[in-house]
Amino acid sequence: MTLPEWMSVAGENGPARPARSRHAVGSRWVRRAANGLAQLMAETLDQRTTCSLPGYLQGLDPRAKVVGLLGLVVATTLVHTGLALALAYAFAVVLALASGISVRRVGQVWLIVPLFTLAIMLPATLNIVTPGKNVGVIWQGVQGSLGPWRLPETLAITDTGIQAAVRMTGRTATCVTLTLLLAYTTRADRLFRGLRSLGMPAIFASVLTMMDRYLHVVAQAAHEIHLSKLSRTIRSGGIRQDHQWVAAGMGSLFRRTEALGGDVHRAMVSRGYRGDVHPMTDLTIRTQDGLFLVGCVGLAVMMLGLG
Amino acid sequence: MAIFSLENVSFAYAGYRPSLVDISLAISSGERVALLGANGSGKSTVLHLLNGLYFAQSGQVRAFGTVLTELALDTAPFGPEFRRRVGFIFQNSDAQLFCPNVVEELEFGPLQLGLAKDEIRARVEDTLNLLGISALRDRAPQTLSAGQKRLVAVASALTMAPSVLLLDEPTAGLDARSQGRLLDVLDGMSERGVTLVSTTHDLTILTQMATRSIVLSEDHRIIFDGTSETVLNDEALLTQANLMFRRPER
Repeated sequence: MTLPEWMSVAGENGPARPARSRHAVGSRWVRRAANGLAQLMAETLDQRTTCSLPGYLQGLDPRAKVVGLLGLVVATTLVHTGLALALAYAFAVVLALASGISVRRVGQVWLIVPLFTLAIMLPATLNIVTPGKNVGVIWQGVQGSLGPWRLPETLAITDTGIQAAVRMTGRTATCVTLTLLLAYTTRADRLFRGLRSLGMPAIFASVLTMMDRYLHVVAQAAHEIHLSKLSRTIRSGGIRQDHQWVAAGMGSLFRRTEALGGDVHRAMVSRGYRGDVHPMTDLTIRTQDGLFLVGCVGLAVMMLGLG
Repeated sequence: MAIFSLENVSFAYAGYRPSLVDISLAISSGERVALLGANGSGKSTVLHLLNGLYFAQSGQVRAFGTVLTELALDTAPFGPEFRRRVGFIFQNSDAQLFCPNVVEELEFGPLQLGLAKDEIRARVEDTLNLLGISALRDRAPQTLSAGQKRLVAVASALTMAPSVLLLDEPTAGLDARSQGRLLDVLDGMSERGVTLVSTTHDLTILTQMATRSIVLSEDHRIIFDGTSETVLNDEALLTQANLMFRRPER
């Protein structure tokens, strides 16, 4: 076999052309997305680690946790006073510490929640949505109209608007923290089994369990697709080409996922699966689960009493 | 007596060209059979047909005297009994390992069969020790290497104590020690009367894997059915099936 002339050793066909700086930004966002996938994989493994810690919540029956913590989430959404919200948040922090989850980890909620909540709540701080005492004037002018809408003479932030935004942020952070506790301390398959025994249809529980198991495989495949592209990239083709590449990668991943889904189903059928998964251990409610539920109900009643 | 038979079976995946053309073969209880062929020759498809995961578009596949159809496999007692008796080790271990950790993977099959939990625990422990993978018991599948995944996939089929084991490229990706251990286990199963049907590319271990070899051509037909020694000594056959390629002297 004779190789074509151009297949000579590197360097003898002229130097590779370096990346053009004006297109470098195109590659960066793809790289960021790929790094996000790698982080997702790491976080999935990390979450499995916290689930197996010998902590208080980890030792409870998943049904008790689902009912207790989600019950507190509902109570949190119904209360208005800062004291009631503070009680719920303090309870969540105590549970986290008793379950071996660091305050730093629980506190990460405060890095993300205010960003999104405040963005949503921003209009509610204005006098045109929430009347109250003006604490900061944004715009002042003559009263006019914009089509059918009457424009106010003054656009300002009100004290009651700020209170509503802060309350909403606190409420959201507390709800997210309580929900994260459930995820951090309950292995996904046990969580779905718990939901199943609380009435979720078997097919949903099976699909969710499979999703959790294969999320990592799909993320890994996507990461490898990116790495294989990176290893052959000499210069960036710009954002448009990156968009095309990402779309092609998504298509390829979809085909692989579909094939894997078929293989998994056949592997399950081959080992006797007939529509429902039989677990090795049965879920049992014990005294500690009952005490946890009583505690959650007591706190919820107290919070509702505070208003 | 034949426990499996394929009679003039043809099969094509939807939208693709035929994967198998007019295949006829019979496999008796206790045999060690290897399916040989180049990539895409249809070896894995034969295993899927034998396991009742695909169904022939023409011809018949029989197992234990019953024609394999979706209806037959959905009906008790044949369906569950068939699944108990026939284990399948898939080529893609990621597809086979769908449970959260290794122990639950090994428990899955016996649980679906309704075995007693004490019996299941004992089987799991024995199988973990047999394959030397006790240290992996609590590991999640995604944290295992390719070779470890393969051993766990084998273990997950062994806990069902099948009388027939279908293995799709069982030694692919295994290091030398793991490969040796797996072959030892297969020898032991064969001595106990388990029927073994494997696909492989690896001619160096063919005689250890199987006494009988069936060779599929690249046009998806059987071109040889005989002893493994005969296959290895037939260079023309191996070349025709694209299992061997002799490079010209340089």
